[in-house]
Amino acid sequence: MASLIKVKNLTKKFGDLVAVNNISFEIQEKEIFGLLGPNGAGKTTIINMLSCYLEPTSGEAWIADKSIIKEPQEVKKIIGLVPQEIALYPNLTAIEHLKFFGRIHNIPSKKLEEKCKELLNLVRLYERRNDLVKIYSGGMKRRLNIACGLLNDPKFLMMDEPTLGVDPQSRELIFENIFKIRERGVAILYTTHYLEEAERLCDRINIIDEGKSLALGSLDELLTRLEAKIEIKPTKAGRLEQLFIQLTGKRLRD
Amino acid sequence: MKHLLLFTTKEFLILWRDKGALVMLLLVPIVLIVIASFALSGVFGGGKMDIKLPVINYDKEGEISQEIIAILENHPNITLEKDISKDEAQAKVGEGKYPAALIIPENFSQKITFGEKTELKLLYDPNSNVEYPFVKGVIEGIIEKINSIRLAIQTALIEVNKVNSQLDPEKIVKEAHEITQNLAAEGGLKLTLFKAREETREADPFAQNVPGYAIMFMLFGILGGIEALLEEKETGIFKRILSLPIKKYSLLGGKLLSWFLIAILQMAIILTIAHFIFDLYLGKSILALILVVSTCSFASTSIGTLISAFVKSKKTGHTNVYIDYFGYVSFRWFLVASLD
Repeated sequence: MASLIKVKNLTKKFGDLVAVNNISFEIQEKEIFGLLGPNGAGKTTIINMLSCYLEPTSGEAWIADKSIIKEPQEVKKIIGLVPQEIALYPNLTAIEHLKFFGRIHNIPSKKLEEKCKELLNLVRLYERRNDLVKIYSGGMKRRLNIACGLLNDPKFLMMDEPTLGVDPQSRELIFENIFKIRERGVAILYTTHYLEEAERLCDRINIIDEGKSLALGSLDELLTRLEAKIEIKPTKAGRLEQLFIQLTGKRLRD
Repeated sequence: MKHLLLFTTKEFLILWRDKGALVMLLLVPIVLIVIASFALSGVFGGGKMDIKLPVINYDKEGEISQEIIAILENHPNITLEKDISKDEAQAKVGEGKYPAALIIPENFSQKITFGEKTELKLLYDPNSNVEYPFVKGVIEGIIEKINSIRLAIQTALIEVNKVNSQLDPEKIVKEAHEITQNLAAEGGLKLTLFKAREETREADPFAQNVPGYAIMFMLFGILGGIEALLEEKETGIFKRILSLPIKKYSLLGGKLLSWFLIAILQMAIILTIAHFIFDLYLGKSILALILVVSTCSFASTSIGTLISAFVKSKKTGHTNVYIDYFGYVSFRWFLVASLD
């Protein structure tokens, strides 16, 4: 299967700091690709570059054969972004958010009405569509944050820690949504701190630290490949968590 | 252009829902203008100065003392209190209730007429910084006038005595007095006044305060816009919007257009309320007024743009310096408007 997203030797420097160092990977259609790493590993910087918010210092990436450097406007039409922050206006309602972002995507009015209804039902906010975001719970805001990233039927969706600070019920609903989105043929780049989430959701995982890729593959592939070097004990901690800690170490990354 | 208007509409909708911001933009300036204007009305001469001046006249029949009282009674800023004793006047001046009290001594007119030594007495409150000096100035003007009449009479008497010492001095004095008065009224040296331009309206406290406060709160409004922009940067909204297929100028243009329109609207509302409720004079040309309001709004928006270009985040130290400076500039308008 041809890769939908190709990232080749992507590097981003901020002065002397190398935030992303020569990262390469590919993501297939319908694939959920996990990007794991401790704080400051460079996960969000990779997403910022792939969403054309930051320009890479060197390297290149293509999304559906469109270059993020040469054709950023074309890339922006086919990607969806769910930022780590709750990127919403407290004094707008859910429906107003979707209509506002939908109009930026130039979606015709009738189609936009239908799309809003579909997405609000998907994230189960239809009944609360006319409430101001400022009175929403954390989980509701996270779900609307996701809906806003899906308005243009993206081919590639980037989700930066979408379950941060939500209750188990909302998290379950978000997982359910992610699988539904995947079924539409969307490739998903997923970053998280919750390793059990990555274990449950991701088809393949790229573990990064200090801007460098440490390991890339499915969880089983990684465990098999690194079997000789890493000892996985039958403890309560998940297999991925043990693998992650042994690869990245226990040093705090504040 | 479509995106630019979309952003502007969204900004207006958010502002409309933010009741606190609306109060700050519109209600607070109006309330502050009203309070400050009434509080400072004395300083700006907003109300007509009305000084109550007690006069204790011991020369009730005297012609000159009558004339002095008549001059003071006709003065537009002085109201005489004639039925008052010397002790009562002294007590009230001492309490600060009157700025001064005028005492006309016995036989004042007669002594003036015959060149004898006499004096007007002004009992004053040294703590009265505005009204007492005003009264003193008026009375000194009257004394100067009396002295000129006196000089004329004395000169006339001396000259007449040289020719014929048998003549009636009282008659001469009376005639000399009349001549002096007529000269002053008709044939004396006069000052003719020419208007260099049409009379402008008298400055009142609202004319002083409203434009200054309107500018100050316009700058505060822009400051709120900058803070909202920084908040959008920090909450990821900026990142989300810039990952959408729009040009950066649509985002920035939409913000600036909304700041500009909000500033114009704010000025228009404040000036309209001040015009209809407090009779604020807005000039003769509506076009000139629109030009001034638009220029002020444009200048404020430009300063806001400049600051938001330098400021990276609300949290950084240097950001606070810019914002504090902007607040200081805004506050200076208050000082300039109120005290200059």
